[in-house]
Amino acid sequence: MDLTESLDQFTEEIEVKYIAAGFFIILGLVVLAGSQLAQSPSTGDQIEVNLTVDYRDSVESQIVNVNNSSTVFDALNSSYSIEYQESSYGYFITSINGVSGNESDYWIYEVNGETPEVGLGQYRLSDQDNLDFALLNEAESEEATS
Amino acid sequence: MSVVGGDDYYPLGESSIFSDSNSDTSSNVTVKALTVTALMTASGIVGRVAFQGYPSVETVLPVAIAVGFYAGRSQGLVSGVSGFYVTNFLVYGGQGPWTFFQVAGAGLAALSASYLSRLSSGRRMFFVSLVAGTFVFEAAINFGSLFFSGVGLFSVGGYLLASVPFVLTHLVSTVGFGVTIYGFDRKFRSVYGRN
Repeated sequence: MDLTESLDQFTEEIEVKYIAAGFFIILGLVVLAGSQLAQSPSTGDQIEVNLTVDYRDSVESQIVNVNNSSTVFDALNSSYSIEYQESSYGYFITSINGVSGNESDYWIYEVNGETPEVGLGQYRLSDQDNLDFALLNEAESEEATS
Repeated sequence: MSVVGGDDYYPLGESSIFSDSNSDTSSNVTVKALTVTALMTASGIVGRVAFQGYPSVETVLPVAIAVGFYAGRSQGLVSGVSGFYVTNFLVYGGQGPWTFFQVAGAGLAALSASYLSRLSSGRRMFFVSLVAGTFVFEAAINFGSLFFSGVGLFSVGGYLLASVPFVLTHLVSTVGFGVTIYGFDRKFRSVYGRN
């Protein structure tokens, strides 16, 4: 049997319609999977957080991009010049952009309008969280946390 | 098609390892059949490496199921086991505890295809084998993941729920590649001596 005959026999025995149908199923799946992969967060799973800082006399708001599961401290530290103290209770912010707290006023933070029960070094942010820092006195801060 | 007798007659004998379980007699496997099995397995290996960027889209399993269906359990088992073992050297992630469960899953899928083909060797049963084989494979690897992740009994439901999109993708992928493989149905029947 020469090559042409073998080739003829081979093509007689295969069914192109199935091969083509399978090809299109896989093509569809790959396009679908590809678009899903393109939509999913990449580059180390970055998230967007709306960060607002209330200095009492002015308010500054910006969108901050941080890695997924970054803490509140990471988000603030990556976008503002801050001063802080570290204790066994965690971080304590003493100044944001040069605006310092004092004996009566101090920096507190809220996530989505609520004061978390953990320190800002422990709270892990999610995408589209609203993170607010405000310089409040004791009475205001109690009101905010209640 | 072997229903009674054949290699089942000697469950632990030499014939169960070397014979073509789907043929009427426990005849020797032809060189041509082994060549086709090797070519299919090699295509499955190349395909899995080529599609490694797409989770759950892979070619080793459909090939193993097809070989199990057309050529019988021994060749199907070898195709599935060697396919996953070899490709794990070549894909991102490499070898790990998952290799064992992939190999077991593909082997069991090939075996199930081989047994299903004894009930009927038609087109419908070929596609039933692809679907059943995918579920067998997914059951094996999800059992493996649960085993190694140490997920508590209460989280099992959520864990399995999270696997649903991957199972569905794998199902469509296996059937898709299976449809292409079915294009060579007559060729396989002549090579493997099936009617």
